[in-house]
Amino acid sequence: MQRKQKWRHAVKAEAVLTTVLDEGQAADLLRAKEPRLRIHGARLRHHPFAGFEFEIPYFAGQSKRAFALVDYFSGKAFVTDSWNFAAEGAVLPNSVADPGWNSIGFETARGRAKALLSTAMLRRARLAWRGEIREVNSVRTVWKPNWLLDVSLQGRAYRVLVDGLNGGYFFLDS
Amino acid sequence: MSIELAFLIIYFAAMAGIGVWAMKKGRSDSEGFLLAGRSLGPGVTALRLQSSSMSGYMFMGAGSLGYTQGYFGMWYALGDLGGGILNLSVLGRRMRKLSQILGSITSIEYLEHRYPSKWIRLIAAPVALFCMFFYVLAQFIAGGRGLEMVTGVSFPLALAIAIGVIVLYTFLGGYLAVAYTDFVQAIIMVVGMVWILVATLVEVGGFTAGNQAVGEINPNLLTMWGADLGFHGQWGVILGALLVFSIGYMGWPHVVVSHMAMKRPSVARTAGAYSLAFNLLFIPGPYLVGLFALILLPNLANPETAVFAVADAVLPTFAVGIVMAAIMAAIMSTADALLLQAGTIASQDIYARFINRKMTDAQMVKVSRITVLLLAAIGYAIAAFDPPAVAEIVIFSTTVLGSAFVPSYVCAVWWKKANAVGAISSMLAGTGASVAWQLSGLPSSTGIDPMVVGILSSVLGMVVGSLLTQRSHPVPERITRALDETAKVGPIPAKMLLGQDAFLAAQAEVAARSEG
Repeated sequence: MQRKQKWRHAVKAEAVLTTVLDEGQAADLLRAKEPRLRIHGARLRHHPFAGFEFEIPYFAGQSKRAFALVDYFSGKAFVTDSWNFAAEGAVLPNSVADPGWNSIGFETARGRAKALLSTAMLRRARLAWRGEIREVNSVRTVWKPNWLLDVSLQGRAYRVLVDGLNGGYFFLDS
Repeated sequence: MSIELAFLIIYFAAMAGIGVWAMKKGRSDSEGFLLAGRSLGPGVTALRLQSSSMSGYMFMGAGSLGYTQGYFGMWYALGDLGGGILNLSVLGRRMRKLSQILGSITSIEYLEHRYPSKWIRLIAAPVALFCMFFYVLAQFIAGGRGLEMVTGVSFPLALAIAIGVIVLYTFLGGYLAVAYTDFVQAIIMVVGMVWILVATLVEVGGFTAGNQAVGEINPNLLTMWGADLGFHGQWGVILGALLVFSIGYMGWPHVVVSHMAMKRPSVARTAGAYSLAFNLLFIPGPYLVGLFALILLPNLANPETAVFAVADAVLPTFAVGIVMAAIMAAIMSTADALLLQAGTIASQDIYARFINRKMTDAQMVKVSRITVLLLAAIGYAIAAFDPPAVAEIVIFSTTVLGSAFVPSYVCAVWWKKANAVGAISSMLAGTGASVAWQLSGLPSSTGIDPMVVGILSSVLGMVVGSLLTQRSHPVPERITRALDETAKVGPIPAKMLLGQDAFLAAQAEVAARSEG
């Protein structure tokens, strides 16, 4: 019979992820792709996620740590690297507003994170995997930094979001 | 033991060795183990995906079409080659953007988010499972036939061994299922297929001489209208052949599933180019080998074994073993991916949604295991006694899936009035019409392919269902707003367009909205 695990951990209320790229690096990254791009301004915007750290049974009695962030505004869960938080109070998140498309709560986010990791583990370890993922840490709101840049190219204006952690980008309306 | 069988065993031992080596290598990184795929280059990323998407159909169905219908089979190849481009250029961007905005991970979830109704999942999940079962059945049969040829044992026994190995792989394949085994396997598959094709062309005296020889057997085979010109002017059939693997393929859950983690966009772009190169090299091969098999082996009892038999005839013995092993491995990895996906649908989309909302991950594994074992048992019961043709099953299941889902996927982003009732009507009409058309025998008497009938019925269901129920079942306002955001596709500089990180779509839209 499966023993019910009795574990508790304190849920941290809020944390801000350290911004890896500064404003200049975000701009350089875009210019490296398109040298004719002109940058007119940039501001940091923080997006809210629920953060979860899990211990996952793995092959041959090993267990591994895995991290997941779940977007509060879309409900989408991501597997991520371990988090690097900024010192408390160092950065005040300049948060974005809820568009109300598919907003979810913390408990739903927890379920999504576990479902994602279970599916990912099943794909990796196949059906010999026994399950029993254990949550070891969670943060109610993890603020992820993104740069929103005003740019122009050949007279046309654009807004571009640059991921403040890995430098990925996405073009907005022009 | 035959040399082919010995090579088969050596091949799998080598793959297991690579798997264990890759696992040990990755052991030091205790946190990034689920993100291992992110550090892979575009070549490995592309080829590992291709190795699990190329199924037993390519080795048995495609060869059989070439052998029996000549260049008519190329309609399917064209659809297969063009499907990816069509998907990327016409449908991809908006669909990806909406799925990101709504946070959908699986195709069924995407439909349920866009058309909020529990009936969407209740209908979509069984239809997907039904079709996946047939696709898996095709892999079982292909595996059984391959093993029958290599070992010489009877088909029922070879089938039992093949299913046993596939199920075992699904349970214990964690060590094998690492990126590098898929990568090596894909290389062997493409090299093997090109090798068989080149050896075949040498054997028949070159491409032109081969075509002349085929023309002497039956000149109709050199046209794209079938062995007896039966498909001449049958645009309903030809359209269906083109649509099956271009549009229809988009319906497969294991194709639509977007993956977790934040992938590097530059890798995704280059990987697309590698995938296209792989497809160009690989896809025409089995059709042509099947065609030229008519010259080399004119009296094949089962045309589905054409590629296997030609490989046996034209390659050196050791190469036959390696190529056979690669073929078996391709079949296994496709069957494994499908079985795992079927298990996930049964556990997450059916059991957790409708039976036990508090399903634990251990229960999820248990439901997945039972599903896989059930599918294997039923598959054996059907295939051992009256095995259907692989090509027929794959084409049938892809037809049903495409008919059921593609209009709902497309209207989800291109038609604001598409609502839940329309989507439900579309899925039911598409599934019902394509299955009924196939079973009634109407394709041969009317010359209209079930894919055409299925897609038309599905589109009609969507349009009529949505328009009649706009007042009683309006599209929720939050979905309309999400669609407005999705439609904002400005003229982004081409140089920057492909390098975008789709995972940022939702965050970008939210950031833009909050600024006004």
